[in-house]
Amino acid sequence: MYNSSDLRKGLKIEIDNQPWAVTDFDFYKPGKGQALYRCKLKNMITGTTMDKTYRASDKIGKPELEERECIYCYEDGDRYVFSDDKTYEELYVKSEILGNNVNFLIENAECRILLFNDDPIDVTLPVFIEKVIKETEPGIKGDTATNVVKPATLENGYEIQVPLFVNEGDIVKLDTRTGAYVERVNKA
Amino acid sequence: MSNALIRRDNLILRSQLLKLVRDFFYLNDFTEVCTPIIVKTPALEDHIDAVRCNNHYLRTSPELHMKRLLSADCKRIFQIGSCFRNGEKGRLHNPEFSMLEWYVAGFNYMDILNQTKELVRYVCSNLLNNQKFTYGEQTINVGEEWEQLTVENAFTTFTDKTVGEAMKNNQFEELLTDEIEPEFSPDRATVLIDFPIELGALARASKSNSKLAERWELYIGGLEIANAYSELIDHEEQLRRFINTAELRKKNNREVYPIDEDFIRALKYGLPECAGCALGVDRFLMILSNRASIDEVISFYD
Repeated sequence: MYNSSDLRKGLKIEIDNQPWAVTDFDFYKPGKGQALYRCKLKNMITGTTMDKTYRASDKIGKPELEERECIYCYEDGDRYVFSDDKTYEELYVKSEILGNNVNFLIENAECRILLFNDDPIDVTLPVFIEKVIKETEPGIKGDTATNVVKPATLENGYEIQVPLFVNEGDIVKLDTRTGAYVERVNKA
Repeated sequence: MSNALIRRDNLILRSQLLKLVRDFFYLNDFTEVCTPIIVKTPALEDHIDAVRCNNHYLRTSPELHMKRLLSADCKRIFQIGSCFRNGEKGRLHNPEFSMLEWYVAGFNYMDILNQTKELVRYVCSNLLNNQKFTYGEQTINVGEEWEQLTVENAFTTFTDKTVGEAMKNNQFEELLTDEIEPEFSPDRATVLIDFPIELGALARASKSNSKLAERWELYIGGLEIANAYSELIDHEEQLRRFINTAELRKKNNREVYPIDEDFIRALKYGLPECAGCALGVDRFLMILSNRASIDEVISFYD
């Protein structure tokens, strides 16, 4: 258990069997009264937010959280299979946990999986990954200066916006945090 | 926050503020005093924790020593200095903060309220050349008549609980900060007055209602700036309250400080009827310099 005085920005706590992260925190103490610990909380599974005020005497749950280094292996129906880097144990992650990250999975990519009570609740991918452009309009040679973009489709069907000079078969670097194109790595 | 941000403008403003405060008290025939910062035992209060210093403590306020000076026939005394409260850190709190505290023999809490008005107006007029200034989105005129609200009225007007119900449900602080403080007039100072006796461990009970302490809190720009009361001078009553507080602290698993016997002895010897006021210098500086957070007015903050 945590005490109220342990609360700070970034602390992870448990309320009603759910893990919450403290995203904002302020200590306030009116006059000679008891201290109030005001928190903004974000549910680490659903992403919902709420405000909560704790008092000095409150005890706060400590979530059973574990982070493991894993390698992405393969897709199995609507689950994704990862292997623990150290123990080689297989971890199964449901697609709803991965969300948009599903589009950026690459075999053998080093990922971090966050587990709450031994269930995966979040997957952090490498920041940059490389993907092949499967389909796009032919590139316009020499146009590297403007910010004009066009749609392009990856092999998994995911659509991104790329500069006009990018061609089918090119390898591009993407930022997995935003899903945005970063640069062209290799010309086809 | 990067450490040791030195804000030169604020240092200069702080220096001017301290000079004006001293001018005010010297003009009013006060003696400036220095009392120990390292103390054998801090004042026993329900919700104030002291910082340990070897087998002593850092003072949480200079109150007990200053009252001992009053019982030694000092009649008008003031002090400016650091006080320390363990674990208090936030937008309006720092574990080390600067306190102005003064006591006047023969005064009650209303007399010292009038003097506080004079002090605040004197400082604003001389420091800002104006009694009107901007704090955040508020324009405040401390020259206007100060809003005065009893705690009881504040609860019945702005919350759906009476102050008694709030105390019983342990909701006093939450309702005060969430529902009452935002309702204060934005354009002038507000004084919240007549607190439940439980919230005035060293304050005198009201002569007309023993359930109330003759205590007030001053708010300017939504910030709690000062706290004052008619001092409790009855040594038996004070000892009883210290014992109660010690029991409550024990029940709440908080460190129980020894009772300050020297202070009780001074009350027994004789403390004159008097009132005292404690004003947070850092917060006062915040509103005078339009800063949102206490770290912006402290010279070395980490």
